[in-house]
Amino acid sequence: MKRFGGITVISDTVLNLNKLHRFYGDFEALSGISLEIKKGQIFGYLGPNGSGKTTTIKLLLGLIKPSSGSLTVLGEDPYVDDARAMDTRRNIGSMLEFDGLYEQLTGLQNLVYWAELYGLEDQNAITQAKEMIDSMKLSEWAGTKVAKYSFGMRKRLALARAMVCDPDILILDEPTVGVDPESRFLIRNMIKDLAAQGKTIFFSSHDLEEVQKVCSHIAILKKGKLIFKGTLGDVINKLGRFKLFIRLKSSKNAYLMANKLHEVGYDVKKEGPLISFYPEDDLDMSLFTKEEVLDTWKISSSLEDVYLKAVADEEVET
Amino acid sequence: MNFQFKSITLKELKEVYTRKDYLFTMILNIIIFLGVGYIFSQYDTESLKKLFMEFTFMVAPPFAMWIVGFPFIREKFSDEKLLRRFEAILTTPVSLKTVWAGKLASIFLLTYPTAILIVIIFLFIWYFLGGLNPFLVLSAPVWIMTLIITPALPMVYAGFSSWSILRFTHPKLIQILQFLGIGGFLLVFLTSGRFIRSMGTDQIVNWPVVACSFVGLAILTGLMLLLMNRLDKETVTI
Repeated sequence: MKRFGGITVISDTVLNLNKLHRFYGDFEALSGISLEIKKGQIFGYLGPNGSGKTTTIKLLLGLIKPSSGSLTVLGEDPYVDDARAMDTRRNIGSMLEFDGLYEQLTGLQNLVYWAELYGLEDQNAITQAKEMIDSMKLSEWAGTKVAKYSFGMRKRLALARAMVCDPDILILDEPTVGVDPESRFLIRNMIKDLAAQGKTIFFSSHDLEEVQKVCSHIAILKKGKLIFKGTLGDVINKLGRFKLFIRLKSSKNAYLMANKLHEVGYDVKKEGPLISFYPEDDLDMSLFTKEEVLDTWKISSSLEDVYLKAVADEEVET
Repeated sequence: MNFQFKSITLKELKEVYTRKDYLFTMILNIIIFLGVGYIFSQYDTESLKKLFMEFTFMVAPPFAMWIVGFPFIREKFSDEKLLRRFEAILTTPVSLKTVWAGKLASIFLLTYPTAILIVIIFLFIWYFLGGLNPFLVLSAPVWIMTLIITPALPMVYAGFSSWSILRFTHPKLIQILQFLGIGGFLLVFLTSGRFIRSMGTDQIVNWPVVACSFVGLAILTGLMLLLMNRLDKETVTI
C-alpha cells in the first residue's frame, strides 16, 4: 500500500486501463486497450498520427469518458468530479498538445495561477512557481507576457506548469515536439530527474530517439489497438533484429558476395568493400571464406527500426 | 469563498482591466449614454419626462453592461473553447462549474461599474439639464430595478450564452448570440415608447412589478444553474 499525497493506493500500479474502448460516433478510436503502469516508470506511448494516443491521454486526464471498459488513475475514476477525485487530481500534472497558456499573463502569473488551482495559497504558490520557472531556465522571462514567448519557451513553461503542483504522475502529450535541441535536452533531463525521485511519467511521442533515451517502458499503438507493450529491451528483443556488417578485402569481393547473398534471397546493401544485411537464423556461413573477410560486426535494431517494422507490419499483434 | 473560484475570477480580471480596448469601450459607452440621457431629458411634457427618466435609468445601464460584456463572453468562453484552454484547466482539481462561475463573476465585476457609471451620469444630466431631481422623482422600486434587477439581466444573458457556447459547437454561434442580444434590446426600445405613452402619467415600476421581476429572474437563474449542472464536460473538451 502506498501513499500519494493524501491518497492511498493499493499496489504499485498508478495507471490502470482495462479493455478500454472509445468511439467518436461510428469511429472506434481505441479498441480494447489494457495497460498497467507502475510507480516510477517512464512510459513512452507511441503510435502514428490518429492511432489514439491523445484519446488515451484525454481519458487518463478525465476529459472524456470511455465508451466501455474501465480505467483508474491512482485508484480513482478520473472522469468523476467529486471531492475524492479532486484530491486525486492534485497528484497529477499534465501537459497537453495545446498548451492552454494565458497569453495576456506573464510566465510567472501563469504558474502562480496554476499553483492556486492546485490549492497552493498566496506565498506558497509564488515560491513554487518561481522554483519551477528557474528549473526550466526561464527566470529572465518570468515577468514577460507569454504572447512574446517562442514556441520552445512555451513548451518549457507548459512543462513547468505541469510540475508546479509537485505531482506524483506526469502525463505529457508530445512534450518535445517542435522544440530546439537545448529545450529538448532540458526536458529530457527533467523527466529523468523526476523519475529518479519516484514519480511516474506517461508520455506520448513521435520522437523515437527521445523515447529510447528516456523511457523504461513503452507501448505501441496502431489504429486504436495496442500492438506491443513492455520494457524497451523487450520490444527490441521481440520485434527487433540485428544487422550484420561484413568488410571484405576488396570491392570486387564485396560485389561477388553481395550477388551470392542476393541469390539466396537477402536484400544486401553494398558500399565499397562493405556489405550489410539482416541475416536469418539459417544463414549458411559457408558462403564466406576466411580469406575474403577482413572484419564482421552486428548492430541491434534501434527503436526507430522496431517501430517502423511494427507499425508497417499488419500481422504484429500483442 | 471557494479559493479556486476567487483565483479564477481574479485571473480573469487581471487579464482585462489594464487593456486599452476595455477602457476604450467604457469611455465610448459614457459618451453614447451622455447623448442618450441628454435627448431624453429634453422632453417637454412633464409626465412623460418622468416616465422617460424611469425608463432610461432602468434600460440604459443593463444595455451598457451588455455592450461592455459581450466581448468578454466571446473571449472567455468562445475563444477559450476554440483555443482548447478549457481542456487544460479541466485537468486541474477544478470543476467545470467553478470555472464557469469564476468567469461569469469576472464579467459581472468588469461590467457592473459601467452600469453604476451610467446611473451617475444620468443623475447629473437629469438634474442639471433636465431640471428634475432623480432622488425625488424615482421611487424605491425603480432604484431596486435600476441597481439590482435590470443589471442582473445581462448576467443572465451571459449565463445562457456561455452555457450554449460550452454545450454546442457551431462556428457561427457567437454571432447568433450577438444578434439575439441586439435583437432583444432593440425590441425593448422599439416597444417601450408606445408602452410608456399608454401608461399616461403613472409610473412604470411599482412593488408588484419588482416582485414579479424578481420571481422571473429567480426562475431564469434557476434554469441557468440547472442547465449548467447537467452540462457534461465532454462537450467542452471534444
